[in-house]
Amino acid sequence: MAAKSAPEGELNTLAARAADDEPRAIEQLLARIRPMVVRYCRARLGRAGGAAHTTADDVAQEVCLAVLNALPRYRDVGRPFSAFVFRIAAHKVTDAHRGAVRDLSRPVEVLPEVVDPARGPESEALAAETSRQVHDLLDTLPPAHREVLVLRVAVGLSAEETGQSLGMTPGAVRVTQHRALARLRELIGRDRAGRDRAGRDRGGRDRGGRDRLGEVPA
Amino acid sequence: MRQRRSLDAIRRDDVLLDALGSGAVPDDDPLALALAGWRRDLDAEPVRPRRLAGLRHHVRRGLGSAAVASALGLATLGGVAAAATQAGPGSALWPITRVVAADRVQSLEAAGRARDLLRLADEAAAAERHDEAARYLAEAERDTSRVRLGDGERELRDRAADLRRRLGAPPAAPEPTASPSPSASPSGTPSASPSGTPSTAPPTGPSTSPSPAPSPSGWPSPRPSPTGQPSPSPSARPGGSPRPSPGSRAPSSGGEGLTSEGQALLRLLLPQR
Repeated sequence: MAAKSAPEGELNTLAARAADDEPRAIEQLLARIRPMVVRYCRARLGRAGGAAHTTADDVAQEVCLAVLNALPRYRDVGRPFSAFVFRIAAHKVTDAHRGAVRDLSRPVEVLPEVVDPARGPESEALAAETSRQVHDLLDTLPPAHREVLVLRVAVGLSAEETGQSLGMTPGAVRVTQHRALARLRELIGRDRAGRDRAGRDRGGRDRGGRDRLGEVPA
Repeated sequence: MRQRRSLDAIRRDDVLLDALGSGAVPDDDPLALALAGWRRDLDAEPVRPRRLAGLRHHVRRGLGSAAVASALGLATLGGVAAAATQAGPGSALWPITRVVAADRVQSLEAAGRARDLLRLADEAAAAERHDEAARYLAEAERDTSRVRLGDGERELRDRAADLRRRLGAPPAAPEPTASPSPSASPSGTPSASPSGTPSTAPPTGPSTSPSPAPSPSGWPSPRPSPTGQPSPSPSARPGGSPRPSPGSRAPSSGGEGLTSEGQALLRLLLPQR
């Protein structure tokens, strides 16, 4: 639905023209991939060390440069361009993580408060808080699960493109993403149950947040 | 049966993730809403990269931004650099321009500042606040001296001269464009190249002004200003080997022909060649 065959084919064509040093194509290509790369880096790196996404944006910038540098090699690879981009991006983010000081001791607050998505400026802060909580929540997942969700949701790649980026079959992507979501629902449900217990001083187990979508154990 | 439900759930999640990935906001489940909010927040903030981390390291070590520009522009980016050097603010290539054509960026940004300052000076003059107008005018002229020919330098000079006439002030002393004014350096930390040679590396093309304006992206000033030496010597390059200016783009595909710093920079920037 998101970036399926037609736009993806278009992106590949654009990349091929850009690889031929066509300045207009290079500019268009960059305009297309940059927002995706920025979202990817922000999703992976979060608001490290402050309220803004500055570090993530720096890394996104480096990714774009690296992609442009690597463009001449694109043709030979025979993969969708998005896969090419996000392999490079994954390397850069890993490098940034290695260098960054991460506060691993910070406890994860599980349940993000749901924010009205059509929010006004006044709920920006709350949205940022939700975002941080989701980021922390994703960090509790195994890296492969988290990576799949980042590429599918934050970047907007299809299951096929995600598979190409991560060296997985589309089927494996679909199973992985399902397990990742199941795990997140379980965490949210548990947290919600805990809150309900604490709030209403109730002993019984509240399963309200779980099984809502008829999920099965992974 | 269980198998069947499992497949359904997998399919449902796939559809959900497709929707979230395209920016849609499903309204049924708290997790989906949270993920939609997260995705939305990733887009909410404008992109403001401070710098290229790897580049900064090298700039600190004394590799001038002009050297960075020529190393990147000539040896690695090819068409991208060519396109980026032409790009203006607002173009998707602008962030790249900031790196590959730092001198042009400084020129355009100085032009923008000068324009704003002239407007302020105009307003102050119109309101008969002459001292204030003169102050703005002086600042505008300082910035104008960093604007290269072709980036609106002429128009800015004319406007400044016109305003100066209206204020009844004497004509501005011509500022030497090539002067590495120490005041342009934002920090007092001179960074020297490993060999101890000041890495001035000025562009030698006729259209480029080697004015060491403050680095726009917040890098530490790459160029130490040799005190008492008004004009940067073009021969004071690390390695001493002649390097082509960003203006003359000799086609080159690899890292050959670069100084050792350039080579190191390429290795740093380029992923696994």
